Amino acid sequence: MKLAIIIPAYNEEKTLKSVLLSLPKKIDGFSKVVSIVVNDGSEDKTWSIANSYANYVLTHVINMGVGSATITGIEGAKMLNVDAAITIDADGQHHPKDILKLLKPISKQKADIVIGTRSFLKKDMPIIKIIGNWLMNLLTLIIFQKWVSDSQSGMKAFSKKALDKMKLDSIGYEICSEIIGEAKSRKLKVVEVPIKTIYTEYSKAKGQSIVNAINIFTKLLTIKISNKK
Amino acid sequence: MIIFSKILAVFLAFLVISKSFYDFRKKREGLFVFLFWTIAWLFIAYVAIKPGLFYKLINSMASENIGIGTFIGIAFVFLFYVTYRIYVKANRLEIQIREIVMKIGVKDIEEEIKNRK
Repeated sequence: MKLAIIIPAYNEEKTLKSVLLSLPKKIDGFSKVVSIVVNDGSEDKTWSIANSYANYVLTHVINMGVGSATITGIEGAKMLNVDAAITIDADGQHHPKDILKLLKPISKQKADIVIGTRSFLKKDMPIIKIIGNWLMNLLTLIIFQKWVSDSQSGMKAFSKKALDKMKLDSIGYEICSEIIGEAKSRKLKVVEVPIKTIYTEYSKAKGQSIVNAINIFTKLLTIKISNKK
Repeated sequence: MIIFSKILAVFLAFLVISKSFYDFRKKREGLFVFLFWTIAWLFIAYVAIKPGLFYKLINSMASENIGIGTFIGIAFVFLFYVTYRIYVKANRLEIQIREIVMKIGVKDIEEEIKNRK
């Protein structure tokens, strides 16, 4: 069994090294673990850091957005013929130990997609992010008729079946909701697993803003309307 | 309300013209495009300040018995169509660019697989 850890990164020189060094080298049930950094047109030292510490660096010649970077990572993982893949953020907000938690339902064949659900009860979670996340959960439910408690989580694990079946079109942050939509339309089993989040001033400043919700909503509607699958 | 819409029109015209001028200076926009947007938005601002021009235009079409409501309706249909076309085209271009960027991105893995064979 081969696992790919996909890390989309845009100007993440401050955190990428520690994220890559913290990744587990061996995971029970997987004979090989490879890290794939998708350098999304970064203007800082992201590429050279990734080149030193990751197994594969896929570079976007221009900055496209986290959705595009995730799709490139998934395509790369499929080319490497992996049996499972997991996406994590490059800003250091995800705990590497949670990778094992997310992979359990996949290796036990109990899920095709596992979502790492963040806790929204923690005091250090910014209120604006809580509202924004709830709003996105609601939009995801309205557009794709599927409720998940953290639709915007960047930490997700995928089985080989999910990797092969999903046809993603997103460019930006709408990818998170599109994956939920794909799971619903492709009849992929989704499981939610609680994860820890490490909120630093850096990771709080990153991510999407609530204003972006309108943009995401429009893009999701376009995806839903132009569904050619 | 009328004063507000006049101020808004002038403000938007100023915004568009200054952005267009900035792009022209940075050589991201040609002279023709810059002049087109400048003239178009100066006209929009003028019509907003002096809507009399609008009435003259409608009166000149009096033989066709056209009212201001019909005129605005036609303008809306036209504008929505143009917006729709631009949106569809931009969306298509975005997806095509993503495909190109992705193909370049996965080249390293592709080459590694080829070398292994």
